[in-house]
Amino acid sequence: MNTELEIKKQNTSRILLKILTYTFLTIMAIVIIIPFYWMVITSLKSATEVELFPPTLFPKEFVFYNYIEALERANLIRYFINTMIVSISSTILGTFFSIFMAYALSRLNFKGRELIFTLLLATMMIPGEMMVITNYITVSNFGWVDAGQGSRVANGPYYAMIVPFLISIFHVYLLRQTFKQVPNELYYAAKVDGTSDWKYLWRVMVPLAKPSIITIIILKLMGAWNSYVWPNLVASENYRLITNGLRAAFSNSDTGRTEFHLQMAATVMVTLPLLIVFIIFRKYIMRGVSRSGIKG
Amino acid sequence: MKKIFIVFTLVLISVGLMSCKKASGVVLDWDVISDDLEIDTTEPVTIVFWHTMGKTVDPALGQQALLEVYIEDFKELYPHITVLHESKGGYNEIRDAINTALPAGNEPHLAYSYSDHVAGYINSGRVLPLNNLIDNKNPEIAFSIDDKNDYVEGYWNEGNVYDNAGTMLNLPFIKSTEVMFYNKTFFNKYNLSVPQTWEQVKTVSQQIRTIIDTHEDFSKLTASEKQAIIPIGYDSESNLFITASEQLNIPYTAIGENNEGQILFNNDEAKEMVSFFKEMYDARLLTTKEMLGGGYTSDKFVEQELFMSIGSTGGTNYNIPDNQAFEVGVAPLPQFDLENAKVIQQGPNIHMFLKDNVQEMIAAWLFLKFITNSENSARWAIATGYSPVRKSSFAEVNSYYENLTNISARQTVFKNVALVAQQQIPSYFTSPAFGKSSKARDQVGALIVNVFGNTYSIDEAFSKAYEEVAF
Amino acid sequence: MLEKKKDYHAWLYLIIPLVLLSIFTFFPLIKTIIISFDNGYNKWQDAFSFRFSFDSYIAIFQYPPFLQTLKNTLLIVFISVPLSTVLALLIAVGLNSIKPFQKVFQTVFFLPYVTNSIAIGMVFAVLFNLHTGLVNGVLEIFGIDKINWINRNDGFFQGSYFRKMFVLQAYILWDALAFKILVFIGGLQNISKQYYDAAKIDSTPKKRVLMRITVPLLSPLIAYIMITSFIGAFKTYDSVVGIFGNNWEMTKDIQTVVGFVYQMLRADSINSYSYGAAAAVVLFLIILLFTGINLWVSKKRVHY
Repeated sequence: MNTELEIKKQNTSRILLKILTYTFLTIMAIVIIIPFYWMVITSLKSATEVELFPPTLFPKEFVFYNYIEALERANLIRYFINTMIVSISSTILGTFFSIFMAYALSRLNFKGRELIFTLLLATMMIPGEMMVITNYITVSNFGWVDAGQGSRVANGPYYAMIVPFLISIFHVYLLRQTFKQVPNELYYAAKVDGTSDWKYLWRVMVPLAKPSIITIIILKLMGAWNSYVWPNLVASENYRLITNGLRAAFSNSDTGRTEFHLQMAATVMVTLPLLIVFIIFRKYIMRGVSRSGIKG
Repeated sequence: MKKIFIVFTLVLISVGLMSCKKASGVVLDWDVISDDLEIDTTEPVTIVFWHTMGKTVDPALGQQALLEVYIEDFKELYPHITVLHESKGGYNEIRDAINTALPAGNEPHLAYSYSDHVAGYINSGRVLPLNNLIDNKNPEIAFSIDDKNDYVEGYWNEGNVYDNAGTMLNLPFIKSTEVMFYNKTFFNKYNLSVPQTWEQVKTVSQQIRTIIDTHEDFSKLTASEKQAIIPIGYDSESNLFITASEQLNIPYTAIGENNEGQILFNNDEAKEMVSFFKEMYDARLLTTKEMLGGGYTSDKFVEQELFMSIGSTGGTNYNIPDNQAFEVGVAPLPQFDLENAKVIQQGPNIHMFLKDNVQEMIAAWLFLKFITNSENSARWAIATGYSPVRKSSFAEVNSYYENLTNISARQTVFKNVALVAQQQIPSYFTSPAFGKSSKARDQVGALIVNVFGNTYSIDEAFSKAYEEVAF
Repeated sequence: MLEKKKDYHAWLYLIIPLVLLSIFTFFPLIKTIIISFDNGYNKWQDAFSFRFSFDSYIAIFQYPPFLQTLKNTLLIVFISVPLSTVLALLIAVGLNSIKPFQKVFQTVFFLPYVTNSIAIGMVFAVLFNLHTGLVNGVLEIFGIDKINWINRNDGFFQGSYFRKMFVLQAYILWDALAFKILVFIGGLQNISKQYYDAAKIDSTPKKRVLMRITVPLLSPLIAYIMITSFIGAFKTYDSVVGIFGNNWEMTKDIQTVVGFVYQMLRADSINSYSYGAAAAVVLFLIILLFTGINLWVSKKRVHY
């Protein structure tokens, strides 16, 4: 019968598609994993094996001591605490500001909205290096910089690392797109019920935009985790972040050599928490948001 | 709405304009600090020292641990002075840190530097000329004639490469130089003599090349493995160019009558010199770090794929094989003319910044004098393998090695490095430092890489390098 | 009356962020523009020479290495962004459609984002190394001679701009996927199953489903990704340094405009800072132009 053939054709093409998808994903996954594999095995090689030319594909012996040595060399505990303070503060404050801005730029109507939005986009168009000296002078004038004898303002370096980069238009834009996808009908309905804008934001918009908000939180965390240049300039020893510890501790400035096995060990140790955070939050990001509220 | 917006923008612009300053020209004025000073020990002062030292725990290994010992010792001499120190990372990082701190007024009292960098800092108008401190009427502050003579002349002169008036802007701290590490075992086995001139280097390299290519000891190697073995390596292309120019009295850079920097390397003799080395490169006799595309010549040296490695004394450790696989010999840098021997000197200097509080500057100066005194300089040299900056310190270093019982193979190499470095003292030279001097240095290095790699012909490479520096 | 109230309302949400942005972004931006017109700006004193001129702009446009960086940057933008966006979309759709191993794949694809791009760049450099890299090793097994991918000309193995650009693009692509996949997956989750169910009932072919349902419903996010990726790609720097190192002299042929800016800002001679500012302004204008075009296009194609 015709339909039987049709169904068979559909089945085979479905299976073919599945196989294709899996193969495609697997190849991409392998490509993604190779550099990681390299990073991990380098972190387990001995100092001499790392210098070998050509490099070995698998460590001759596993030197787990690299991790301990890396921890000893750099003051990693202190740096870890600093990084936590800076990244958590930036993330909480930054996320709130992103939500406010995105809301204003998407839902609320006011004169000059699109103009402001374009202007804000412009802030993304300038390379960061251009702003370093100017911002350093500004931040120093506020008394937040420790040039060796302590900062004028207590815990100044924390402010210096957190405040200038609180607002990320990159994140605001993402959230604005997501907010814009919430149907107008919902808003009008809420207005009819006499809901204030503030209430609408927290009761309706934010829950609906949860995946994007979680994405932003992760991005902000990672931004603080990976930042290096700016903290290096404004933070003195006690306020340094993990990235500073990693880079500086394992490179010799005069000879230009890096102790790769230690640096990779430290990099793995720093990457792992981020990975774990992602694995924990993955459920929340990937889980669909039920639209039942809208249907009714 | 629009009104508020406009007002806001105007406020922004006016705040911005208010902070606009006019640039002041820069003159190196020795009298910014008096030549007749009193040390006030009643008021406590704190000074800040930025450096690029690695973090160490054991003072016997030098760097930060030893610095902290010096700081403690200094505190006993001058209880009213507190010294704070901070590592800023590496050579480039400290320059960036200082260049950022200067406009904000956050620069330290003292810092590690290299003359090329200081040439930039001068533009801030706040680098302190040291002349009135060196020749101060107060004997506790000044350097005596003996002190001045005790410094190795070449190192001392690195402080006045900035103008023609003899303005001293930095004191040397710890120095390195280039020496030739060679595989003594290999040389002995094949009866090779250690070259002293570049012509001899060429001859010996050709002999080594022949051995690798034809001798039965290496017959098991494939053709490409044989090609990967190079007789001699010179890590730094820039040093190769600059040192060879000095050795042949070829102009490289200079400071003109009006204290302006002059770029002079674009000449025919320099091209001939480069040609000489290119021939060696093409014949697979010589290589450099960049041409190895990622490997250090010392790495190849310890793996016995290279038999003469010219590199910094600061990198001595990297030229010593594990398990004493072969004996490492140390020889002076090859010369073109043994009567006109020239060797480069490297390693950090320390300079000072002008501060409002005179007592702070005096304190910083006293600390600088202390850590570069004879005993401390020797101690640092022994711990790190670098060269001390005073002749009397050399004597101390030598006697340290002489008195070592059970000297290891590794320590023997360090001892020989110290001896050769001393031997080369009369040959040290300095290059002038001005705005474009670091660029010139980078360009001549790139020039060599481009010529060796056949990216440009020799003429093209020179004119391109010259244009680049002029930009 | 209501309108005015709304206006003030909205500004309340924006006031603190705007103040912060003004101090830390708009102010430096304006200062950069001013510096680009003052060739005698002294960065050590943060002081101007108050001589207005176009000298910096003229100088950089006559400087071949700067023009080369412009070319490199444009190539990076117009190849890597569309390519990575399409690829990320396909991967996200693929990931969404499989049940077993979904979590594993999702974690794997997110890996590049959590790592330091310079560290991974170094790994790429090792993989493509002329004498010791894995890639050449594999080629040699198949009897193909070593290829100089990313190393300098050494007189025996000729390097090539094309190959360097190829490896660079591959790395940028690799690095750029993770974030896009993440955003698209989030977006896909928000598409009501009802659309797909309806399509199934009609036995719509997969390709049609993709083009007529998925893409339009994802269009706000696709627009976001395209626009922000364009802007980000114009500012590429870390990727180049990761693979080729940061020695400007040796890597001039493959560096980007931002690389040029960094180099100028760090130099020890006086007028370099102004040159860097001029280059940054040129870049800014180019980005502004293309973003404008992008926004105009997205107005037509994006459905909220």
